[in-house]
Amino acid sequence: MSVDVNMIDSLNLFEHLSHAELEEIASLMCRISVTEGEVITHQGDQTHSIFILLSGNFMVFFKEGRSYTLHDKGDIVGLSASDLSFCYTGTAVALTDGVVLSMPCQELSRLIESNPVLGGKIMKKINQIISARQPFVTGGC
Amino acid sequence: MVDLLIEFLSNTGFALAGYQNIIMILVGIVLIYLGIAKRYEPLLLVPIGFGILMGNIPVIRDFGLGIYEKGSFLNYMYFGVMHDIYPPLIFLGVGALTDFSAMLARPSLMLLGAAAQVGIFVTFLGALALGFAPNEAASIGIIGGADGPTAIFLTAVLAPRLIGPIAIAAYSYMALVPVIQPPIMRLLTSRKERLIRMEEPREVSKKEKLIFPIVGFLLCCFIAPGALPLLGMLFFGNLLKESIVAERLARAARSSIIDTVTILLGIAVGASTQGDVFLTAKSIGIFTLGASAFAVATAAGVIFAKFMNLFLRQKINPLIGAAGVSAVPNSARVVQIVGQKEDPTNFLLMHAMAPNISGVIGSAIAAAILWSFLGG
Repeated sequence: MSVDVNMIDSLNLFEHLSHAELEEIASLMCRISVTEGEVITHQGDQTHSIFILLSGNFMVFFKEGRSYTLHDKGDIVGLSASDLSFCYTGTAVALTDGVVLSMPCQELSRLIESNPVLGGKIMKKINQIISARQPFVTGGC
Repeated sequence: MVDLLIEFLSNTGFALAGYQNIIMILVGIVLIYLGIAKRYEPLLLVPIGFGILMGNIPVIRDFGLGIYEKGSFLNYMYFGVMHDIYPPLIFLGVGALTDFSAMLARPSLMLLGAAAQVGIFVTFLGALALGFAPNEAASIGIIGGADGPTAIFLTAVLAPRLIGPIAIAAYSYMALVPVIQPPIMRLLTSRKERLIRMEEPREVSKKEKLIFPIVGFLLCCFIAPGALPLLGMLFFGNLLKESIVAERLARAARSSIIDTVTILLGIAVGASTQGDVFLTAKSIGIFTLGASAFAVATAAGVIFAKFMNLFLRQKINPLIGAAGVSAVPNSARVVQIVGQKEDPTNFLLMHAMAPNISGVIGSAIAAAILWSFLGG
């Protein structure tokens, strides 16, 4: 399903963006409903999209049993897809029914190429999240 | 009746197939599998993989079916490759997509895009030394430009029989940028250099962005007229984008046109990849030299950035030199990732986009230079 600006303008990832920038971002994403128990990313699978949570609870677990849960609107799942990793380092499962926004890696690359200023802003935010989550991630996949 | 049946059976693919057909069909299936199941470059591998299947179905000669038979459907598709129609159309889409402001903000970083083209010429010399003919060596060297359409463009005019292996090598290595580049970047830089922070790029005015495609086109094509088809379409596409008044054309160029041409190019290149060309020692040489072309190009960009630092008061982070190989925007993203591993707060992506985009122009000019020397 398509995404409109109202769905994303309150998300931390997109704060301080202009309306035009939000529109550009919204056009790259689609809205997906997930059901309890549904696997969003699977460790070792080829990366294809990052997912931004709108509602629901999710658990991400890694090798050696590490895991964390995500509950907040705007949290991100599938960060491996943003740093050119070939495969997801974690498995993300929906603990409840919920809604996520997906942005394909190819669209992220296109955004960086076509609008490096906006792409740079998004990547900066994503990199901050990656740095904060680093302790939870074991590395290779 | 029996004779008819025997004739029918002798004309089927089962009777005509040789071991090369079978191996190439397996190669095609592997590419399709990688594209669909593993999602490795699906937009390229699926058309190329299916093209390999189409091109390797054994058919009766002179029946007007084979890709090299005049008038066949595949031959018409191949016409766009052989006559350099598809690569410029892809460049039109790339131009309509690309924002050159990172490069215009700091034009001196264009030198890094030029320096990385050293990989093309070093590999050209290496291929000559290994016994490849000059035209073939140039086509192999251009793999180091990390630009699939440019590699196809040059190979079509210099060594058309090698289009299949060269195109597959070029696109494969572009996908492997995150694997090939980081070790070279780390090997050639100290931690202190990787930690260098760069000034925020200045804002580029709309007027500059509008003037650039015209001035850039005239300048580049006066320097290297052979780059006219590629750079003409690249800058025209960018003019459509930046002029805003032609946004509908720009949108068509960067979406439906580029997608259509990618299908045609993928199928044609795949179908032209046949066993007698692909399953040879030459292909191994092409893949090996192609990888070294990438590595040398990466190293040349990094080393040139270090050289520039000898003269600059405000130092540049030499990692960004690696982005000069083009492969937009993945090599710029690799720079960001390698830099971020040293300092998570250092953001190099925007700076790396400058050599990255100029690498596209640089590799087209390098192709034009090789063409002008060898194509006559």
